[in-house]
Amino acid sequence: MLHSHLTDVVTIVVVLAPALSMLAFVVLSIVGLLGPMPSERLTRTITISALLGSFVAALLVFVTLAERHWAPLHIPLGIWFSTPHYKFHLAFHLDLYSSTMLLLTTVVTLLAAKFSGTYLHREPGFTRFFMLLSIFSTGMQLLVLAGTFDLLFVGWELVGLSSVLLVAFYNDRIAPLKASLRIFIIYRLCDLGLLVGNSFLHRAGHGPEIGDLHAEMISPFWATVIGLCFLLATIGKSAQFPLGGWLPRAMEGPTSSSALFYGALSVHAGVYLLLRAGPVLDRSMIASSAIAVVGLSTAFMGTLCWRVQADVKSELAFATMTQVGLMVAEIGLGFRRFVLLHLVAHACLRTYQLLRSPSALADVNAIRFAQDAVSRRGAGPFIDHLPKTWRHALYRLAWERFQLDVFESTITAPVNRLTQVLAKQEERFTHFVDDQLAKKIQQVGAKKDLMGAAQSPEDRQR
Amino acid sequence: MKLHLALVSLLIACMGFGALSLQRTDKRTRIVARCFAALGVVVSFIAMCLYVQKGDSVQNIDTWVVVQGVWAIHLGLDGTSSTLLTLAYVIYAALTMAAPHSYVTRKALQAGALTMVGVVGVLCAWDLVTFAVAWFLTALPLYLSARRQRRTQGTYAIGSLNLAFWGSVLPLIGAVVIIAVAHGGDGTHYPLSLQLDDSKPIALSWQYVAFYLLAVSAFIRAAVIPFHASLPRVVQHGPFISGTLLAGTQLGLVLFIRLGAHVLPTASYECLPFVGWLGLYSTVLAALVATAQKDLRQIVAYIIISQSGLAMVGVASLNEQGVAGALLQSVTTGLGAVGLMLLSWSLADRTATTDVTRLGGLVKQSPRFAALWFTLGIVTIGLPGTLGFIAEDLLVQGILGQHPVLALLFILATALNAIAFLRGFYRAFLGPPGRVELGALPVSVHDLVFRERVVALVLIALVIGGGLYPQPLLDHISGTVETIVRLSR
Repeated sequence: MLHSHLTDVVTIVVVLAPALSMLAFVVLSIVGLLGPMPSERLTRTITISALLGSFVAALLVFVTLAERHWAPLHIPLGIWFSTPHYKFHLAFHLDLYSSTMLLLTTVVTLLAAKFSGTYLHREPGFTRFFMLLSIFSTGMQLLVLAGTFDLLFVGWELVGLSSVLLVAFYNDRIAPLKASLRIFIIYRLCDLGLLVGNSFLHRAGHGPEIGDLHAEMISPFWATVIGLCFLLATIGKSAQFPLGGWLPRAMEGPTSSSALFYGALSVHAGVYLLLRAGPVLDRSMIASSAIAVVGLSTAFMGTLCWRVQADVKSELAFATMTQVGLMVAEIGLGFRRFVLLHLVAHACLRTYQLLRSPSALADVNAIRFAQDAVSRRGAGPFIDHLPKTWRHALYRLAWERFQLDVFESTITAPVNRLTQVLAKQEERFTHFVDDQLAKKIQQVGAKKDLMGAAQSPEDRQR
Repeated sequence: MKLHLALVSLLIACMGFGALSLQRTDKRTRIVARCFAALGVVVSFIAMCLYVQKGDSVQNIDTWVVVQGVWAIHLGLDGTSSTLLTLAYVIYAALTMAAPHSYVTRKALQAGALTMVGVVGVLCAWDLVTFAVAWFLTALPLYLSARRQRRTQGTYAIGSLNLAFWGSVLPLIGAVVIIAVAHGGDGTHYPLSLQLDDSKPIALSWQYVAFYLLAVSAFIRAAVIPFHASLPRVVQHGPFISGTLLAGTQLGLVLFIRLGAHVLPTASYECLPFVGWLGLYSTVLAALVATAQKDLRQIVAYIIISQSGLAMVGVASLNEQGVAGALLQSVTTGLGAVGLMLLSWSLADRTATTDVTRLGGLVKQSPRFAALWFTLGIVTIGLPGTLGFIAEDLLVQGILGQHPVLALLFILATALNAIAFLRGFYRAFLGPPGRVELGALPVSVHDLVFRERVVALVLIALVIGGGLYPQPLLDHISGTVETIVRLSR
C-alpha cells in the first residue's frame, strides 16, 4: 500500500514537470493572441516560475529514485488513442538515465531562462523566445521521461520544432532563415528513421516500451533494421557525420538558445535515443558497428574542424560535435553507463562555454589589444608531429569542413531541380486544361455552328 | 423519439439557400448566411453527439417512397457522415464569418449555400438518386462560375472548372444507371437503396465498370493527380466559398465509402490497390511540386492534393489503422487546410497578391497573422498533439507493415509538405521586406481583425482538441472502418 501510495505521489510529481512548462506556453499564447503582448516582467515571471516548478519536481523524482537505489519505476498514464489492433500507450519510465536527464534538463533550462531574461532585454521577440523555450522544455522532458518510443517521438518532434524556430529568431536577416530551413529539412528527413524504426519495433517485438523491450524476442534482422533507423534519426538530431554541417549554422540563434540546444540538450537527444535502444542494439553487431563508425568519423571530423575555425561559436559547435561523436561511438562499443557521465559533464561544460562566449570574445580582444600580441596556437601535440604535407592536407580538409556542404548539395540539388521541372510540367498541364482544351472544345462547337448555317432550311428541317 | 436530424440538417441548408436568394444586399446576405451556418453547426453537432455507435448502422432515417418497390428517398446519418456533416458546417461557418468581405458577395454566398445543400445531401443520402442529385448540386456552382467567367471574359478561360463539373457528374450518373439497371435485372427490392440491409452487390461484370466510373468522379472531386487541375485554379482564383467547401469536405472519399463498399464490394476489393498506388503517386508528386511553388495559395493547394492522396492510400490499405487514419486525415485537411486557405485569401485581399517573391517581412506589420498562419500550417502537417499527428501515426502503422516501400514514400511526402509549408512561410512572413523597385509591395498590411482571429483560433482549437482526445472520433468512424476492412475478408 505504501508502495502504491509512493507511486501515486511520484506519478503526480513527474507529470507536473512537463505539464508546468506546457502551461507556461499556453498562458503566454492566450495572453498574446487575445490582447497586447505581455510585458517582459510578466513573461519572465510566468516562464521562470513554471521552470522552477519543473526543477523542483525533477529534484524530487531524482531523490526518490536515489532512495530506491535506482530501481526502475514504470508509470502507465493510460492510452491516448486506440483501434482494435493498435494502442498508443502513454507511460513514463523512471530510472537512472531518465531521472538524471530530467534533472539536467530542468536545471539547464532554468539557468538559460534566467540568463535570457537579461540577455534579451528589449529585444523584439522577447515573449516569443520564452514561449519557444517553454515548448522546448516540455518536449525535452517528454523525451527523457518517455516510457514508450511513441511518446519519445512526440517529445523529439517538439524539441526539433522549437529548435528550428529559435534558429530563425532574428528573422529580419536572411542567414538565420536559411540556416533554420536547412536544419528543418535535415531534421524532417532524418526523423523518418525514428518513425519507421518505431513502427518496426511495434511489429518485430512486443511493442515499443522502453525498459521492457523484450529485445530477446526481436530477430537480429529486425534489430539491425531498427538500429539503423535509429542511427539515421541520431545522425540528424545530433549532427553526426555526414549530415552534421548544420550545427555551426545553428549558432545564428540567440546565445542562450545555442547553449541550451546545441551545447546541452537537443544535440544529445540522439545519444539518449541510442541509450534507450541499447537492448535492441545488443542484438545486432551490424547496427552497433555502424553506430561506432559514425561516431568515430564525427569525432575525427569535429576535432579537426574546430581547430581551424575563426569564431568562437563555430569552434564550440565543432567541439560539441566531437564529444557527441565520441558518445555515439561509446554506445556503439557498448559503454552505455559511461555515456551518461560523459553526457552530463559535457552538457554542463558546453553550456557554460557557450553562455560565456560573447564575453570571452571581448575579453580576448581586450587582452590582445593591450598586449599588442598575436598568440599562435598549435594544432595539437599529435598533429604538430605529422609530416608537413599531411598537416596541410588535414588543414585543408578541416577548413572546408570535410566538404559536407557539397555532400548535402549533391543530395538536395537534384531534388530541387526535379521539383522545378515538375512544377513547370504542372504549369503546362494546367494551362493546357484551362485554355488549350477549352479552345479545342470551342472550335468544335464553332464548326458545328458553321455546318448548321451552311445547310439548307429543308436539310435542317429533315 | 425520432429527431429527424438528417432531414433537419438538409432543411437548414435548403432554407439557407432559399433565404440567401431573397436577399438584395451583400451585408444582409452575410448576416443571413452566418445565422444559418451557426444553426447548422449546432444541429450537426447534436446529431454527432447523439449518434450511438452500433456497427455501421445508419440512424435517424427518414424514408419517402416515390415509386413503390423501386425508389424510396432515404436520409440518414452514420458515424462517419455525422462527423463529416459537422465538419462541413464548421467550414461553412468559418468561411461566412471570416472571409474578407470583398469575396463574400451576395452571389458568392448564394453559390456557397447551393454547394452546402449539395454537400449535406451527399452526406445524408442513402439512395442512389438523391446521392446523384446532391452530387450534381455540389458541382453546379463551379459550372456556373465557369459560364459567368466565359460571359465576362468572352472565352473558355477556365476549362478545368468545366472538366471538374462534367468529369465528376457524368461518370457518377453512368455508374448510378448501371447499378440501377443491374439491380433491376436481378429483381432486387428497392434497387436504388444504399442502406446496408437493403443493398446487395450487383453482378460482377457490371461492378468493375461502375467502379471505374465512380473512381473517375471521386478522383476529380478529391483532386488526385492527374485529375486535379481544377483545385489549384479554384484555390487561386475562386469561386472562393464553393471551392473551399469542396476542397475541405473530401467528398471523393465519401463516394468510395458509400457506393463502393456497399454496392460494389468485389470490384472495390480488387481495384482499391490501383486507387492506393494512384493516391501515392499523387501524394508524392504534389509534395514535390509544392516545394517549388512561389505562391502561398498554390502551396496550400498542392498540400491539399498531397493529403487527399494520403487519404486514398489509407483507404486502399484495407486495414483498421490505415482506414481510420485516412478518415482522420480528411478531417484534419478539412479544418487546417481550409483555415490556411482562409488566411491566404485574407492576405490576398490586403496585398492583392500571395506571391512570396513580392512579400517578405510581414511579421513586423501583422504578427498575429504570421503566428496564426504558422500555427494552422503546423497543425495541418501533423504536429504532435494534433489530429494530424494521430492520422499520420495510424497511416504509418497501417501501411508500413503491408507495403514498407509505399509507406516510406508517403512518409517522405509528408516531410516534403512540411518543408514546402515552412519555406513559403519564411519567404512570405519573415526576412527583410522586399525591395519595392524589384516588385515588392509598397503597401502596409494590417493585422487580422477580431473575427478572423477568432475563427482561426477555433479551427486550431478543434484540430488540437481532436488530437488530445481523439477516441470519440475514432469510435464514431469505427463502423465505417469495419465496413471497408470487411472487403478484404
